[in-house]
Amino acid sequence: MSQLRKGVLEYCVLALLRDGPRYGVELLDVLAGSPVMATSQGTLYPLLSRLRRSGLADTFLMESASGPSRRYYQLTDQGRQALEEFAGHWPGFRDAVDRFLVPGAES
Amino acid sequence: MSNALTHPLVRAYLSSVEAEAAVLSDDRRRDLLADLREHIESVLPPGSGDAAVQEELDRLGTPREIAAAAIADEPGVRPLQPESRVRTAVTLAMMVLSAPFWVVGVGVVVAVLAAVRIWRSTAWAGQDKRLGIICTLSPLVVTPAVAALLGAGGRLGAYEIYGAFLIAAVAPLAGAVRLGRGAARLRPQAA
Repeated sequence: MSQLRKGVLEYCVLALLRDGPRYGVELLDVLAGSPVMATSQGTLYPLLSRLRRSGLADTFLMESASGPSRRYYQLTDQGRQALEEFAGHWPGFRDAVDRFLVPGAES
Repeated sequence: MSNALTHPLVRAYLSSVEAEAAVLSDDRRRDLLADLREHIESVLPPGSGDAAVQEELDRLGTPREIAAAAIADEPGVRPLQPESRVRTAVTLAMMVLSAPFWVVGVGVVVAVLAAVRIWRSTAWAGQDKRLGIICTLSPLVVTPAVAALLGAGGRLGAYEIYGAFLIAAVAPLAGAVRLGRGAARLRPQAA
């Protein structure tokens, strides 16, 4: 299960950034709201760091009204492209898995 | 009002992450710690009490869990594996005991074997391995240097030579203590 989660989690993060930048803690809170995706919060930082390094997302700091400035994540063009590609493959992939999993649906 | 990062629980937590993530490259480890620091600073207002701090740290996950996630994310980096007490004890004993015997040549052989055992161990990260090997081989340089210093007045007697060997054994001993602690931390009962 953890391998599967690891595989799709990065696209979930990219999808969360589709409509605009979000800061780290906010991303973690949203993900924690989906129990399937929720692992311990801290384990998501290596993923965010990888998205940054691989150029799928970049970050900027913005002042916050309360407390220290926040690091926001936003999609890069490359990230948007990766997300679109995944979103294109996903329905076919999901349906194929369902065909194997649902009894009698194989034919 | 103290910043959350100076809270003793937070400091202990972060240094524990740092130790658990020792196999990562310096860059990756720095990134990970910077992210965690930023997170902690933004969720914990200055002056938070122990209970609030502990709650946030629990939500973040255990240092081991976080380090494991970071290590799993790095292809080619293998997590540290505990090794048997006996293997560690033999390696460390060879490290320390080789120092006094450099003069007869046996020490050199034992030190080199100890260095190979350190290098091949799964219980230490690259940085600790390098440090351990330098400590093991240091008598090669330290013994003659100290002997030369002590004998500078032209009286290099038995005491000066014993002194040089004793002083040269300090670095291997210090290295062995550090490696021993590192290996002990990996063993399950220490978790």
